[in-house]
This record gives sequence, structure tokens and C-alpha cells, in this order.
Amino acid sequence: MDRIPVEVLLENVLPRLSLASILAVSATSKFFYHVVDDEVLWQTLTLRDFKLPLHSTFRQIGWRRLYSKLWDPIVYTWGEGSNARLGHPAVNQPNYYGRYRNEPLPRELVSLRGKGIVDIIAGGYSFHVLDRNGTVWMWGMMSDWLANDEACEEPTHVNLPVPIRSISCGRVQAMALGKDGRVFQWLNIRNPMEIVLDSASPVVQIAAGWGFSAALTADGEVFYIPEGHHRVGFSTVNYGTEGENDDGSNAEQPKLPKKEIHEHVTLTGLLASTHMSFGKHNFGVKFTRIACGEHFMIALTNAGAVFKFDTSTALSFMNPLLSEHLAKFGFHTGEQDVSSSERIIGHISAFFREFAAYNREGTVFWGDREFNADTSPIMFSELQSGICQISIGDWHKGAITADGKLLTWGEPSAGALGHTTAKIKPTLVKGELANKFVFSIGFGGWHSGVLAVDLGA
Amino acid sequence: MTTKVTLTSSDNENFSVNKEITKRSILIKNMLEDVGKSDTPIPLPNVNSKVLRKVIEWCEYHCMDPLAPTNENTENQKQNTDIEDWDQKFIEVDQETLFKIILATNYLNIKPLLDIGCKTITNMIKGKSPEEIYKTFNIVNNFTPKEEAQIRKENKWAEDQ
Repeated sequence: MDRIPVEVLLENVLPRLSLASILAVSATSKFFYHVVDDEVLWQTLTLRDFKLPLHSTFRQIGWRRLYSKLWDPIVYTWGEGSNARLGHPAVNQPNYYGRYRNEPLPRELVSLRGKGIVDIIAGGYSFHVLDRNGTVWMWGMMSDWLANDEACEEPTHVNLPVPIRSISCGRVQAMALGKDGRVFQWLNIRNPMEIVLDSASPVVQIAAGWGFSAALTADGEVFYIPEGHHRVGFSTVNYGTEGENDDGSNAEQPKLPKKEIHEHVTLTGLLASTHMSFGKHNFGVKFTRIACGEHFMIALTNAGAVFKFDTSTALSFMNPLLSEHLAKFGFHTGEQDVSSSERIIGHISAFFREFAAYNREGTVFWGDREFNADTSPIMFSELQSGICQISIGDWHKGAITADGKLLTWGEPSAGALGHTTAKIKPTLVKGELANKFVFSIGFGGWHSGVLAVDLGA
Repeated sequence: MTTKVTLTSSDNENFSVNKEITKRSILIKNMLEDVGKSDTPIPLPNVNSKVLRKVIEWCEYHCMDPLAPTNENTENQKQNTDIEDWDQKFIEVDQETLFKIILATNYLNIKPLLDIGCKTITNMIKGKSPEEIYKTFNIVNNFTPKEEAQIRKENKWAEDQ
């Protein structure tokens, strides 16, 4: 095998292998030990195995070391403690506020040590996380109107039939996209439902919102998925996951309830049925990202154009007269270098009533659902460059910078802000995070969560 | 009428091949564009006749495939090691020939066939311990026991808990 050119090994053989196999190859001889000790290979593996925000910079650390840190990052949660939503152990002496304490500063969620968490998303009263094996964990409550004994006090497996590629949460619902391309939605972790889209194109993104969800295909079709009903009191469904049947028999798998979805829009369909295509804007050819809030959806095109949809009902979503091109989002008329890919809007986030659009340079354009075609975005001087991920709670907001710092602003929200008083401007959160590199952020409701690694010695 | 191109292997065997088929190789495609119309055989000093015959067989079977890969945007493809049935049969060769096909397709720049060769190597490594890998590929383990212990220590973070 040592006759295969090193560049072929590095580009075409090793990146196809799991971490365990790569380390096994490196342990066969000195030659392969040195082949595997390649920074570009570890950069490839890092980007393959972890969800890092656009344009994170890890200048102070090599890719191989970074990979080993990301393999098991630290999970922090803080803010409102009710509904067991922070996942920290209950206190023995319940006080006026109940058994779960509020946390004013980031606190490590010790029960997730060793679990290899790669993504964290907040719901209205819960958190969902994804681990590197494609398992989804949840704690807290999916909704606050259920009896308290429905709360998951500790991170608990969500019972899905296949490994998961990505997750998304709205207020009371969550969604997952399987590695095999199947889509799941649940309002109760014991009763997931499969969503079947009327499309030949594979699903590339899911987005759960308030009262509805959406899914985006590779061809740019955006599907509207109604919220469904919260069902209580059902028995736990067991899918006979792999390895549970020692005799190798194929256990009869209970059928997952399925919901078929037909309602969808495309960019070309939208432009054809409105006057918008006659304008001076370059809209691109298809939608490439979506983000959902309370009764509205933001969709981004491949040319960086930002659209807003009214998603109060499937009918309003389908009505082209109720969707708007937010022309002031992004660098357009009169700006230099508008064609530069670094400046084109490449990412969007939404939660509750607000949304953010940002580009690869890390410039953030802020808006809320009342914005129309002519409203100018809110620009923060702290968010002019270098921002690589945004997350939004009810009244507190967060941004992480390319060098791993967490900025928050808004209301204190029972501690979720990480500052004792309200902040108008994005402000650095310290405490436990002071010497950590934050690479994933999940804010929602009155609670905050991040994934971070310790890059110290 | 289809144009033919002559390829000469390292052991001086000539192969007359349909010009369109040789364009599966980006190296040959570029050479043909550079020289324009010419009947001169193209020498391939890095490929012997046995391997070149194999490579031509593959190109002829795949002559109808689209030239550029069409869809590589799904995450799963990065780690995909599936090989189609015909290709799987085609690549069932001894290790020596497999390495030579990889070297030849890397030199000739035939990405889809290089991928098949590399996927085959990948499938031979998957799930194996270091001991099983060096037995499979006849690799000489030149670590001292002390160095082996050091490597195990270095890789401790990757053990599943």
C-alpha cells in the first residue's frame, strides 16, 4: 500500500475512512504514521465530521488537535430552569420556583461528557442535541401545558429509526433529517412521525418554526409542513434498533405514522407569478436556505436574495402576493464588489419574531417579521464583520465570532443573557467561557446553550 | 467515421483506441488538444500493457457516462464506498494489479476509475485493527514496543466511552 502516491492516500483513501480506521492505518508503520500526520487531512476530517460555522478560524491550534477536542466538546446551558430545560440536576429543596434553578452564567452539562455532541438547538422549553453517531438527545419539555411529569430531567434519546444528519427546533416541535434523507417531526419524543415530501429531489435542509415547519430540497423547492397535533399518553414506540436482537432476526418494526406533504413553492414559480422578476435585482435561480419563526419564514436564494413568507396557513404561504423580497438585505445597488462571493448573504437564522441574514465576511443584517420590501435592516456596529453564527431566543440574542467568542444582547431572561442587566449592544460573555472556543450556539425561549472546546495547553 | 488514436504502453505495445474513449483520461484529452491533428502514437511510459488493457476496457464500458460528476452535494457521498456491480467485478484483481491501476489512473487522470480503486482499498481497511491491516497489505511494522505504547496513548481521546 505504500506504493500508492501519498497525495492519493490523503485525498482519496483516508477521507473515506472512519476515525478509528485512520488511526489504525497510522499505527501500522512509521511511514503511515507520518502520512496521517497531515494538517490538510485533519482539516478535511474536521469539516467532514463536525458542524463548524462558516469561516471559523482556529489560528491558535492545529487541525489535528482541534479535531481531538471537537470529538468531545463541552456542553453549556444556562438561563431559565423550569421544565428541567437546562438539564442540570434538580435541587433537593424545592423553593418558590420549583425544583429547577435558574443559572445566570454558562454551566457545564456534566451528563453529556463523553457523548460527542456536534450540534445544539433550543426549543421553546427544551434543548435537542445531535451526537457524532447521529443520535438525537432531548431534555426539558416540548411544551409547557403538559403535566410536569412529562419533563425529561436528563438528556434522553429520541427514538428515531435511522441515524440523523441534522436537527431543527421550533417552539413546541422538532425535526430531524436522516442520513438516508428521510424527514421526521415530533411534538413528543415518544411519537415521531415521518414526513414524506412530494418531490424527486433530496431534502437538504429542515427548519422547524412556530405553528409550522418547512423543508428544502436540492432543487430549491420549499415545502410547508403543518405543525400536527400534540399527542399525549401514547406508549413508547420501539423500532427494534440494530444490535438489540442478538439472534440476528429482523424484528418486526412498528410502522411510523406518515404524513404526506404537497404544498410547496419555488423561486421561479414565485417570480413568474409576481411583478418582481421585472425589477433590477438578481434573484438567482433557486432557494438554498430557509429559516422559520412565528408564522413567517425567511428563504435565501443562491444569489443571496432574502425573501419573507407569511406562513400563518398553507394558503398564505402559497399566496405569492403575501411574500416579499427584502431588497435592503445584503449589498446591492451602489455597493462595490457586489459580485464577490464573500459579501453575498450565505446564511439566515430565525426564531420567534426576529431573523438575521449574514455573509461570509460575517456582516449581520437584522430584521423582524414586520419588515417589508423597503425596510432597512438593523445594523449593529459589533456585528459588522467576523460573525459566524447567530441564534435568537424570545428576548435575548446571541452571536459567535470567528475566533470563538460569544456575544449576547437583549433582556436578561432569567439569566439566559449571561449578563445581569439588559444589553442594547452585543456584549462579550465571560465566566466559564472566558478561555473557551465556542463553535455552536442554540438559543431559544428563556434559555441558552453552546458547545465549546478548551484550546488551552 | 470515428477517429482512432494510438497509445503506446511502457513495454512498447500499441493500442488503437477510439479518440472519444481516450478523452476519459484528462491527461490524454489535454495532449490531444495541444498537438491538434496528428497520427503520432501517444507514449504512456508509466503504464504497462496489462494495466493499459484493463484501463481501456473500463473506459470502453463507461463511454456513455456523463463526463463530469453531476451531483456531489449530499453529505453521505463524502464517505460513500459503494461500487457498482460491473465495476466491482472489474476491480476484483490481485493487489499488485490494483495498485498499478491506481497509479495508472492517477497519472492518466481518470478520476472515476481512480475513485473505484481507492474505494476498494478503503473497503479492505474498514473495520480492521492495525495488525489486520499490516497483514492484509504486507506492511512491515517498524515500531518499537515503546513507540506502539506511545501511539496508543496519543490516540486515547478517540476511544469510545
